[in-house]
Amino acid sequence: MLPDPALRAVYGKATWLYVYRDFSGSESDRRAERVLLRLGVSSWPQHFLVDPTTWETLADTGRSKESFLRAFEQARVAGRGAPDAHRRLRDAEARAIALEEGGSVALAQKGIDDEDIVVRNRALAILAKRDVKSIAKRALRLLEVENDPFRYEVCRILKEQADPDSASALCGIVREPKGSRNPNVLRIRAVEALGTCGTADSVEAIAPFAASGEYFNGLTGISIDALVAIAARHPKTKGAVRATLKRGYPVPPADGEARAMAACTALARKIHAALGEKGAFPDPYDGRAREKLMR
Amino acid sequence: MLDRMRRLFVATLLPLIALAESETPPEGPPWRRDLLEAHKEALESGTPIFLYFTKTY
Repeated sequence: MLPDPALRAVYGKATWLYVYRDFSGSESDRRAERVLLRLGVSSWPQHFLVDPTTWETLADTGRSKESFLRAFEQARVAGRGAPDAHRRLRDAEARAIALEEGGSVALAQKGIDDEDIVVRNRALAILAKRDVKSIAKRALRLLEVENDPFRYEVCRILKEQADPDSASALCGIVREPKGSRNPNVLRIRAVEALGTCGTADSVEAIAPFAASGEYFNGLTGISIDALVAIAARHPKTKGAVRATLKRGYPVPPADGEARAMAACTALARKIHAALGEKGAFPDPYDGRAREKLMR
Repeated sequence: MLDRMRRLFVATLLPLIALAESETPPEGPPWRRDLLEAHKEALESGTPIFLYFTKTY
């Protein structure tokens, strides 16, 4: 699309940065990863315009010529950057590289509160391996950091640590994944963590996703697993969890399309198993079978 | 015969497919690969940075 003559007019209206990851761990791959961390990108491909002073996303260019041109029309930078913006970026990159290249726990303890999000991400990676307890202690504050790769990692650590004190903050993310570029994935990570950290109060936050019937969304099954785990730890929630799961039997696709039907049936089977139903799972799973199972 | 075709596929086509997953930026605008360089240029010209994120698949 970019070589299209209609788009040549915007070539001079931005600085063009190509960020390619090959996951080799090489210097160029780590350099690309730092850009991803800075912008909170966790899925590919993506393209958008940012302000070089504030790092605010100005517009998503979309995938059509029209959306591209529109994005460039809308994008306005704050002004000719703050004089120290480039120096601050250069210094932050240097601190992040220092952590990448054999940073100590002491340096990471300092870096976890750095003003720069890439430094914080690199510090978190070190502490996750070498001082994980210190992360669990600060979890509430760390979950407030509006950067997806950062929060994914905190959620992963909390899942391992099974820390009930973080349940309320995790529920906050599930209800409203503020500032996320990928809210569904962030919810998945938070719900996974709630599977081990969740308390009786967490059921309400997870329930809408467990009962959504969205058989193509990984969040549905993970929410079901989390509720089952919470119910096992907190028996008083069993009634509410059971009612939620019953509501979650998915509506079979109207056109019976094979891939949708397979996914729908797999979700229904999962719910049937999670409920520990004694009767055999109905074959076929159709509207009538669903109604019966939901009673 | 099948074995030869499989070997040919692995030896020639797979690397080409991998390469097509764009280690090289798309044609068109003057791409930068270095954040610091792009950042400096954007600040000086008062333009936004267009970021294109991709990876090997």
